[in-house]
Amino acid sequence: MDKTKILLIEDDQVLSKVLYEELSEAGFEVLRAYDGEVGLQLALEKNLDLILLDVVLPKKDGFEILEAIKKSPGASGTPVIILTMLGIDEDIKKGLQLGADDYIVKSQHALPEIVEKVKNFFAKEGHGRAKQSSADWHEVPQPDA
Amino acid sequence: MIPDPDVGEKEFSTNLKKYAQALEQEVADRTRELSDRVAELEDARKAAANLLEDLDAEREKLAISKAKDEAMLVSIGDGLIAVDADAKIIRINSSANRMLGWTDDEMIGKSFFSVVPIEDEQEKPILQKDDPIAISLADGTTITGLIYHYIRKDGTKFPVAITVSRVMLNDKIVGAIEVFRDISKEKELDREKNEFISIASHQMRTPLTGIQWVVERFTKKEKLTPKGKEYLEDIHTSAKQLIGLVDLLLNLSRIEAGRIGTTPEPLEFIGFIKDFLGETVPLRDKKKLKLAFEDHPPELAVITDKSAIRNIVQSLVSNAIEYTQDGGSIAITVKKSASTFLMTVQDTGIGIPRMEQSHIFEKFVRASNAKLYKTDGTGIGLYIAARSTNLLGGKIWFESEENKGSTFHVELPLEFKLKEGEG
Repeated sequence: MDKTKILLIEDDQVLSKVLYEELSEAGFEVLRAYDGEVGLQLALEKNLDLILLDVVLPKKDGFEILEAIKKSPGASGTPVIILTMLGIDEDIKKGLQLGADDYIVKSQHALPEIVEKVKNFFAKEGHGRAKQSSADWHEVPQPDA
Repeated sequence: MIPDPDVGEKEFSTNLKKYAQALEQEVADRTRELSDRVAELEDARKAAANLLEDLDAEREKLAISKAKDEAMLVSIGDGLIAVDADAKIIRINSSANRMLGWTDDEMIGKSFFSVVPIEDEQEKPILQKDDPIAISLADGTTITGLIYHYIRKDGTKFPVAITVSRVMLNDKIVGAIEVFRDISKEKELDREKNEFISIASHQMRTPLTGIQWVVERFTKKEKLTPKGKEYLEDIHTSAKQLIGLVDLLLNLSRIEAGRIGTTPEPLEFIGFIKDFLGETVPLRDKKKLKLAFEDHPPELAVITDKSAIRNIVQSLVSNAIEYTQDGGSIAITVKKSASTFLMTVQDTGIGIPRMEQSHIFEKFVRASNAKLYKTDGTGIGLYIAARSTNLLGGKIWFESEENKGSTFHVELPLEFKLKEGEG
């Protein structure tokens, strides 16, 4: 059975590792790139269901990659979620303008919440290829009683 | 009558003598009078000479005083421009000439407004009637410490802090004196400070997020003794705390650099609050706080700046949670009215002492009881909330009683619009 394929473009080794592990455990197939060049190459070559894209990257930044993806006939339909740090509204604005589907502010979320966001994204999009197991699905705590 | 020659001669001689005597007397009198006059004139001359001397002395004193004034005007680094009641320039010092690029000849006698175009802090042109000099001449206000931009002869701009005082004579405004200081350096330093904080906090955030996430993985994947689990939780709490602090610093630098409150976006406010409350579950559970978020419309669509509104919600709700004793309660309500909405955050916490209430929105100010209750805290939260409210064109206020609790209210426009020319 085909797994949902995610490309994670994130230059920080530690963040990349734990995100990779958490997403893999949640049933996704995760490809990884640590710089913008490799990231873009994989984005254009591989048949992907989602790209998680950091903004500040060596060699090519996230916006360049996003623009190139949106211009490419093969990959322009692939959804992109921008990974960013809090407070850079300009980045979020620019990312969404360039065609990103959503954004995640890294430092604001615990790891399970990020996986949750990715799952919710596929649920919302009604994405046909979202077949990750729901074994470790858990509710986000409800705020008010 | 024919005179008797004998008698006539005698008489004649007597008369002649008398006459000569009278004449002599007269001459003597006149001479005395004359010499008196000469003496008087001499006195007058002396008096005049004295007066002249005094005048010279006064004139010299004046010249010295004028030279001193001149030297003062020349040597002060601040620009000075004096205008008459019609705002015509009557005096400029050399610093003003240097800063503005105009010579005395080009400025004196001309209307201040025609020579020195002025813009506000955001570089928007200011109408002549709103020029501080015009305001001061119109109603005699002394204007101090305001920031504007002046435009030089060559068209370039520079930021100035200005003070305008009117000049009064017999209860009439006869002119105004403006002193202005070029604050480019201060602005640059401020920008660099904000830049530094911004870069530093960004750089800190990635490794901090790394710590947080690795600890989460560790707790989930590894077999741990209860003590080991506790230690990891401590690391997690500390990392989260550090992230919170870094966020606060970054927000502060962004607010001060005017980089928030610039992006009106649609937002469903009730869901937004619920999401935020979700983030506070662990701490609320730990403190066994009761939270009520019931009195609100089911949904509330607003147009606002997300960063600014997050600052407000975060500051008020976090404070309510932080400064309410274990087992206490917090109630949040939202009400919609014609063009605004009102959020109220009420707690049964430690409250703010009456004497300190008027300063509580100032930067780095923490209430004395808050410092005792919780040693770590920055005094930035409410400052950021107040500034953010202000940026959104809203109002923030509160009631509080020590040991009873606080109620904060924020009223914001349903539709936040940028001021004309912004964005």
